Amino acid sequence: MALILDLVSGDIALFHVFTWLDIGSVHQDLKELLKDESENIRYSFPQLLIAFIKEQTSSIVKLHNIHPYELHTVASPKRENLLPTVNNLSLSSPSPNFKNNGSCQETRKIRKITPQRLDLSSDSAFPSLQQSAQTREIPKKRRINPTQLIESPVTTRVPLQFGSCSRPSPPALGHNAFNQAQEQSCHKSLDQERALLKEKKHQITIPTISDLGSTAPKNWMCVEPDISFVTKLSQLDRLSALCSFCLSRNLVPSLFSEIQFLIQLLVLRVSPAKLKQTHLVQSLLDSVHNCVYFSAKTLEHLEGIWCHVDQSVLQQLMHNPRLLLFCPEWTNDKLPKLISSITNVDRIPPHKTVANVAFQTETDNRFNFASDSSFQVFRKQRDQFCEAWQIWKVNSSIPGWNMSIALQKMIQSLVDLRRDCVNYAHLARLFRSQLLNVAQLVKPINELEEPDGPLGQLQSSDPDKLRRLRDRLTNPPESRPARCVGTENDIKMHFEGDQEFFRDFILLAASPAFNEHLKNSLVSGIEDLSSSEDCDDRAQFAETVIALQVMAKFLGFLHFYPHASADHLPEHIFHHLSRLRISQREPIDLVSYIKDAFYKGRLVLVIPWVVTYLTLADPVSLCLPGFHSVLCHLIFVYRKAELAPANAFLIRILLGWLFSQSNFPLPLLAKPDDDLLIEFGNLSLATTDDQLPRLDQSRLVDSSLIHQCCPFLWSWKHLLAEFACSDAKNSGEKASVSRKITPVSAEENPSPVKAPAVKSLQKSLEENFFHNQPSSVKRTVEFVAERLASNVVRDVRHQIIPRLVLHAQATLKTWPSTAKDPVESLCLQLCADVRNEAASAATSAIASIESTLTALLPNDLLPPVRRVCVSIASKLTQGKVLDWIQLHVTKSLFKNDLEVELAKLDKSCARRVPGSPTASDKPQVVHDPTTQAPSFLIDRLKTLIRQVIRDASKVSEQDLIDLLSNCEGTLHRRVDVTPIVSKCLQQLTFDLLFIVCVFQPESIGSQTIIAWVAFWCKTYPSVDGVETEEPVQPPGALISTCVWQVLTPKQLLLLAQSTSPRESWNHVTTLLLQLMKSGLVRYKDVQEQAIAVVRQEWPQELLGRFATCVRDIVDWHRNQKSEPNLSTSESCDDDGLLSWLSWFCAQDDL
Amino acid sequence: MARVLNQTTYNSLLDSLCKLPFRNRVQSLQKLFPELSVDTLKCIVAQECQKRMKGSHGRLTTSETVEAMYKKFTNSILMNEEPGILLRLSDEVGLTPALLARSIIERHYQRDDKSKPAKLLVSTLMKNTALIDDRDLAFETYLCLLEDDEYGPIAEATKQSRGYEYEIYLRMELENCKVSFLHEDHLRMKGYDKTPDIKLEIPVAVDGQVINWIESKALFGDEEVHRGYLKDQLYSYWNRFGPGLVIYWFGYVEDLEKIHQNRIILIRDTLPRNMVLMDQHL
Repeated sequence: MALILDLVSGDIALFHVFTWLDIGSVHQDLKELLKDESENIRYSFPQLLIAFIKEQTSSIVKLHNIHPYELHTVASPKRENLLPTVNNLSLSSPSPNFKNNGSCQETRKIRKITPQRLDLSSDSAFPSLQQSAQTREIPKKRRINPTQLIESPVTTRVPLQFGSCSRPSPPALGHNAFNQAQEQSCHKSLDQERALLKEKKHQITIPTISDLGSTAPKNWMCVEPDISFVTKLSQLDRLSALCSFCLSRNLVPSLFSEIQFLIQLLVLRVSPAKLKQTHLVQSLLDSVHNCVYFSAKTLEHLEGIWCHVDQSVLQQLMHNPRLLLFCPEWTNDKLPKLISSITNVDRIPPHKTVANVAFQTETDNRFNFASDSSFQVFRKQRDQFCEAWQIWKVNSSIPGWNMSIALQKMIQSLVDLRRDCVNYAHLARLFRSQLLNVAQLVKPINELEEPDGPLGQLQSSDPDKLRRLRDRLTNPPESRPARCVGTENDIKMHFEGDQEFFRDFILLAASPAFNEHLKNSLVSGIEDLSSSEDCDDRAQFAETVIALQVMAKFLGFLHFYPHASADHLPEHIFHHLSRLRISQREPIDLVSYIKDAFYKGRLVLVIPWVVTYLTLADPVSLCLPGFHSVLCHLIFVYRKAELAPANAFLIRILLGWLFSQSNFPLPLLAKPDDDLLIEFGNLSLATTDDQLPRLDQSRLVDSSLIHQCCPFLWSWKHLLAEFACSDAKNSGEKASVSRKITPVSAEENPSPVKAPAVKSLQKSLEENFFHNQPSSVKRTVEFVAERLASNVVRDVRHQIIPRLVLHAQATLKTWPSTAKDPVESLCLQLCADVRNEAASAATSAIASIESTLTALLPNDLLPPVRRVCVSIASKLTQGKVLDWIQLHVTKSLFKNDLEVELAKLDKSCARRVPGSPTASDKPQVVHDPTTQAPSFLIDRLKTLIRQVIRDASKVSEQDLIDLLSNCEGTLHRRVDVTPIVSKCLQQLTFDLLFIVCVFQPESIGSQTIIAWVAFWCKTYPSVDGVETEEPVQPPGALISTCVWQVLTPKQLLLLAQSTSPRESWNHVTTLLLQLMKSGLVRYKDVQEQAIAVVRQEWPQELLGRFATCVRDIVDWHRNQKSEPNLSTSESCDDDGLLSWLSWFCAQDDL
Repeated sequence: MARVLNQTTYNSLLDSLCKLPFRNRVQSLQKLFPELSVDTLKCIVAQECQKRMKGSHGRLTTSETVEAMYKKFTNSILMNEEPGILLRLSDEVGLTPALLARSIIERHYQRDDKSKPAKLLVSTLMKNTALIDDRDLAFETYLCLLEDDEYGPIAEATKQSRGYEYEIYLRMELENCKVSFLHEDHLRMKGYDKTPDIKLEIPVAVDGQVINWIESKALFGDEEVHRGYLKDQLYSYWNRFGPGLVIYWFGYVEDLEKIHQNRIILIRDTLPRNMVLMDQHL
């Protein structure tokens, strides 16, 4: 501390200090100050500096008077149990947990140099309004276990850590006189602590925005900074210069927190009354004027940073009254220029209208499942998953809605609906797709807040929604227990907006199998996207980065959740746990990703997700040896990686954020470069096999992406905006609210399949060939081959196989029943057929390669080179097709289909209805819309029949002729007649004709019956030999299901009602004869029907007519038999039975 | 003739429907609501009847009640009552004629252990009443089938046919509009797990809304019907293909779209004529 004080108040040229910090060479003037500790101090100097500034500001910052808004937002409890956010300005604070872990020496060194951390993060530093002056200062040394109170309202909006795992800083070891003095001055009793604790707990329960304003004092005063009151100007200038130097050279571990702190200083507010009451320790930064001056000057110097920050932040800076006062040049001139120079490339994809995960035949259809049942079950799972998501979306913002009550059962049942790896894998895929689809863009929009902007409009149109939005913003989800799954004590990892659904889904599902598959899916998703080639487009790149972050976040959640604890882990337990996990393997090899990215220039893609993943890590994880290397790599990257400015800013902000997490093992941060280099060098140099585009130097990142990746950056704006809000009387106008926008998806870009590492001479020739060509050549060739092969495979799957299977199914019918295993031999034949056809399909596909490649490859390619490309592509295509055939075209592929068909065949043999035309039997018809619709025709026939029977309405001969032509039209010239309908029409037409024969015999013309029978014959050809083998023989003496029933009891009953029985019987006999002549009814059928009739009692007159009819049939049959050219099997039937029946019925005395 | 009803009209229609006797309700309604299309009225009546049956079928066909009805029927036969015995009985007990006939047949063909006969047998007999061995039962059943517009093989065939007819009609209309699409059979062949009637291979826009699929429903869309379809079909399509369109050819109750909340599924009573196709010029 003294060193800094000396430096600032001395007159050593700062230039020398900078050189020393940069390269380590110590100027003569400095030597004196640094004594012999030059190297020791060099790496810790920046932290020392920060600590100094904080110490200097501590006394005044304590008096900061929070705006009423601040009060409430601050009070949100336990938001960051595991992921403490911006609140930890802590640069040091080695936890007890790290004390014995590794280098003790380093730990001690850090303690020595940063003893003042407590000032900022402890309760005393930034008391809330409600706290009395006494309770404000609590002893910093004391460890309150298990609950620790850390309050630093100014540092962030969400800082209070209740029951958190943040560890209190160890007491300073007394190397510093100032420190000792502090310790002595702040002894307080335990009771006071308890009182404070109670008060804190009480506060936690009331964090709603509704009581805003009511409790807040309407007017309050604060000291306005005035440049003329600034003291020790030159010292402040020197301090500011040192500070901005360290910040801009990445010497400070967390760029983010330090700027945050500077902004806090800028908006510092102290009430004059308080100022008077309090005795301030004399220091460099002991007045509001000095603090604001220092902050303004330093911020002004950080030019390299502001160009990457969102415009709205700059706007806030530009309009900040204090900056206007202290750096007029900056705010009036440079900032506006900067703002106008930032071209706001809007890369947020246009409002997305598709919010569902599209069904892709490639990955989702039946062929991607092992069995029908698996496929069917997943169909259900898919719908239920979507349903759960929709229910959540609709209800989650409703207060009091409880996801676990509403959805737990559904989620659990859907996840484990079928305990099968295929289903789990598909579900995990769906989960991931949906997650990427909807949850990846939970972020504030990068627009200026205008009164007439969306929120302004919301205020007028739906104030309640705005309130809920605000509520949600100020009371993060974790503080609303109703929405959260699990008990209040449960650990909540930090997820925002729609991502909560996915987190809670995992928690509620509580399915280890699903988790495992999800992990795999996420790991492979990260793998795919990390090696994605399609990053040259800025929008694509942004999507990829966000998608990677989301996947990493959930992977981290799945991996670290079991290790999370809401409690502070006592040291012995901590060590026990770390011993248990000493050889635990990470699901993803971070070191190799980082190393790879470093050498391949893809850090800007990889670092964001690595950081996201690590911010979810539990404290034990980060101390495991496996992580040691990862963290060292990251620190090295932070210090040394060279990227384009915006890219560098992005990864440094992110890394700085990670380093400032309370879990982070701070000793590592003080490691000299050389130590880190050893870590890096330990690993064999990555192969510089550069297939992937280098990204680090490309201009891919802009401020909107930075803010998307680092949502915590908005806290800068919030601080400024809050200040502006409370400053202006109309505080509602410029409230700083983060907006949520519709999420969009990142498409998955699977990397091309890697070929096996078999190397032949040809192979290496090929490799070299591509190596010396532009990389696009290889990509093009591979792409074309991939697509062509995929098309061939698709053809095989959807055309060739179904066609051959259909054919085989048909052959199955004619297959000799003597064959032992028809299915087996057919399968073998099918395999051979499919292979042949697939091979020829591949050959014909290859024919188009030359023209395709000519169009796609660079124009200046030499013809021989192009020819080689064509041949390689052909080879690749053929290879891929063959691979697929080998793998998929096996007997088992067909077995199922054929067996099902065989079973069907057995069944349908039994059930087959004669004459029902099936779709395949039908010749191609051209639809004639002028014909009557089948449903209309059915209705008409039905009505007609009813009317004839019940109301005796007249049906003319012409009506029957018209009907016949209508029926012909409908049945022969329409494409919308289903088999059932056709069958129904058959029945109805027959019924109608029969009924007209019975009830209105006069309407039946000479040709009527013949015409109808001809129509039936044509439309419903009888299938011989099938219907007789009717197995359904119920105990009701059901003979045949044939439609053409003329002599059954019902028909006779109708005939009995005829008013002119003779005509009726004549017609019916003709009908029956015609039916027999045309082969629709067989003699045998008549026999059976007749026998059934005589089992019942009938009036004698009817029996007489029946006898006549039967005799006519017998006569006709005899004549038939005598005709030699018509010798069917039937002809040898004995007709004695029917003759006897006829004679029997004709007896009067029956 | 209007096919789209607002909630108020629909409610008053249902009210009047409840008060009407079972027969000829369509004609009576036509007088009360002359502005509505007859097909729509038929459809609403049919759906009301189905709803009623869904509610009471189980209660009305317990083995005891069937036994009683069968006794009544055989008695009437013995008493040589006028044909139409079952029809009258149907009015009396509140089962539709075809459902009553089916119960009676089941009872008539009951097995020796008094269990119901095979379903296949019963449906075969219903389809072709001439096969029923008891002439009176056969004739009575036939009369029932002719009278019933909602149940029985003839009514089923009509309904099925109507659905299919509209599907085919829709396909043809789309072809006329030069919209390229896959229909159910294609989708099934390609191994889709859920198959809307029409999946548009190139999406079109209707009234400013992009749609990716069309489902054809040859009936009247009231809330209950619509919710049922949403659950079983429409949401599944949405989940897979995004926003789409459902056509209730016989009309629907206004404002059903509200149920979907943020899932966009348009409802129309005919194929919109103002479809905007994707611009395919270079």
